[in-house]
Amino acid sequence: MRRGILAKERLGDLIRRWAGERLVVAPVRHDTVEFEPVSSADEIELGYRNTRLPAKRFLFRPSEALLRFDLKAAPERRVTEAATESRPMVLFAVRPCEARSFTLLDRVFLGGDFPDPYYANRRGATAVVGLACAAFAPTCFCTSVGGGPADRTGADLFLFDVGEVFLVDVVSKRGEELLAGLPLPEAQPETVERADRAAAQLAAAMTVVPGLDQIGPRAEEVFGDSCWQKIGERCIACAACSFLCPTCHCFDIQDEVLDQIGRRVRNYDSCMFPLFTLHASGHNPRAEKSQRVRQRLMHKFAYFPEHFGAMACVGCGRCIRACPAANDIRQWLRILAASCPERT
Amino acid sequence: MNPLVSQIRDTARRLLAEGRVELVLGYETGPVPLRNAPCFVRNANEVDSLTWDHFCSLNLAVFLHGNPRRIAILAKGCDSRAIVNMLKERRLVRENLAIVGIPCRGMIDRAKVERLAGGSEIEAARIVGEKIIVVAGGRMVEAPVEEMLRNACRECAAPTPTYYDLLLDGTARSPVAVGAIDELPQSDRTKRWRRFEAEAAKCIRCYACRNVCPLCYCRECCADQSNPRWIGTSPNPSDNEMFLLMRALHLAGRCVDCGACVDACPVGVDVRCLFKRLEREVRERFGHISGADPNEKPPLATFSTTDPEDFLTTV
Repeated sequence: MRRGILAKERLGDLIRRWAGERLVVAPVRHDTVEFEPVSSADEIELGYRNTRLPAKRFLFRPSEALLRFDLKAAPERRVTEAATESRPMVLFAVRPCEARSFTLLDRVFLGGDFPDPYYANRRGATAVVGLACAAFAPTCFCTSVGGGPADRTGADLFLFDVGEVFLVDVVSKRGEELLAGLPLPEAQPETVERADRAAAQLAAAMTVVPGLDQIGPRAEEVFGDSCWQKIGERCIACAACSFLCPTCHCFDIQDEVLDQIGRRVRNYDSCMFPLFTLHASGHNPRAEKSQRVRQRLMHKFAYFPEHFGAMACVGCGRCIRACPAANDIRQWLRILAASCPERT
Repeated sequence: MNPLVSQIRDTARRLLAEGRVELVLGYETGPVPLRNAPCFVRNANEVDSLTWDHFCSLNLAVFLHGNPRRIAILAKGCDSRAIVNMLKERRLVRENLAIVGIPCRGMIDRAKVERLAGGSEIEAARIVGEKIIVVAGGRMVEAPVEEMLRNACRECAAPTPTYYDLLLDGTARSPVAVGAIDELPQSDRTKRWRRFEAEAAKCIRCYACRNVCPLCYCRECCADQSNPRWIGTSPNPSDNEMFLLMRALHLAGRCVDCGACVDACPVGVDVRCLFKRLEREVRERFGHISGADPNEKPPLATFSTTDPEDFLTTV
């Protein structure tokens, strides 16, 4: 890994150059801060904590056509595959939690025998520029799930804002390509130390939810715990948490047809909806809210670790910020973690 | 401490001790500033979690659905109107319910405060006298509470519940004359439609507005029906508009303007822009104020020969 200094006045050139050849997506401040396509560095907001919507929507789209059909056409032209996007993209100034979320989505959509072409094409053309956190929001808990304010996981380039300059870590070959030979003068040891110390101090000051890695190994006991009723009764079973979660990745497939012409789309779906598991018979294995909340939490902290080797939560806190019923996943997890040892 | 807090706790303690109820539904301090969480109190030793301030915007009546227990519920003016409608629609067993009315001083609009803070996440908030002081993005900003109240509260004609089992002592906001504020003029259709389009475009179809609404309780929502599929699930303009319009029409004459849907929306759709308008239609045409009178029949469940019919003939 190469480390160097990038003067802030060079950022304008860099963004302009990238914007000439790729889609550049970066945080922009309006009433809230959101990721949006930008064409110049002036539009970019670096002083944000977390955007309201996650950057995942640029890789895993809220709604995406899989194929188009025209049942009135000749048999060989009835179905056409939807074009998959592969325009090069830079996701710029992404917080470490979100950069990490991409590596979790990768495990779902790129792993196994059947990589998802829609996600894969976009992801393959995307470079991620991470930005170390200088402060955390009251809802942040990344250090409890393996992340941190300077976690470089998922980033190709990683920036620390250290006053007049950025300290830049070139994390991957793709990051090197992004710089395209741009010289990075070596950083003063003092600058490096300042950046690392600030990140370490920030990490140390964050709220910790302990014992989350114990939920997986005790999944069966946790599943049968009496706490779920209490947790479930506070939930209104909407999908604000799922749709704003950087790692939730469930989708529903629908045909949208008008007069025999239409498209097959996949849209975000959520295990918080009863419809998610409603059988054709009318039976619903997760008819109760408490069962659905359990599914969402267990998927993140037991099943996903079992199948993909990591917790499916990056501690961004969006679900806490957005929950209409003011639920706090950290509080729920504390209850779960506390219910584990009691039963041993 | 707000004098209402001790009244609420004493009342909860008494109702539980007397065996009048098994559960008290109130508010506790939430995990994030400006939004209190629901508090489910079953034992006297949990009573001290109950709180009351300007952050109790959630309409707790939504938690009454399907709950067979004897429940005491804290109710602001708007919440009591929702309960009235739920009773009229036979969603609740009256004997199981103890409605604890609270004279309401209005609830803070989180989105307004976030805008005030320049879009930063609110780190801390405090009410000092008539001001709200918040810390966001590392800096402190303040504003008069009045300006930061939710529009539903600023336009509320009945902040003190008119229907309750007991009413706590307190001073409510001054009620606003019914219909005094109406930001979307009736005359300009194009402007109204543009406004609605802009709101609908933001929708991500998480159904938080529907699920947080005490009066949106259909066993199967038509947005979820798949055979036939009335409303597409894609978050595109036309399906979003269909969903919002469908929901608005289903709540015509029933919506009590508690503003819970606006609060619940994670992406800031002003769901209320439609409901406010429908509320006026129902009031002006049928003289009905939703949830105000427990003995009055719902306007869509009754018929009178004097009902206006001009909407059938005018475009």
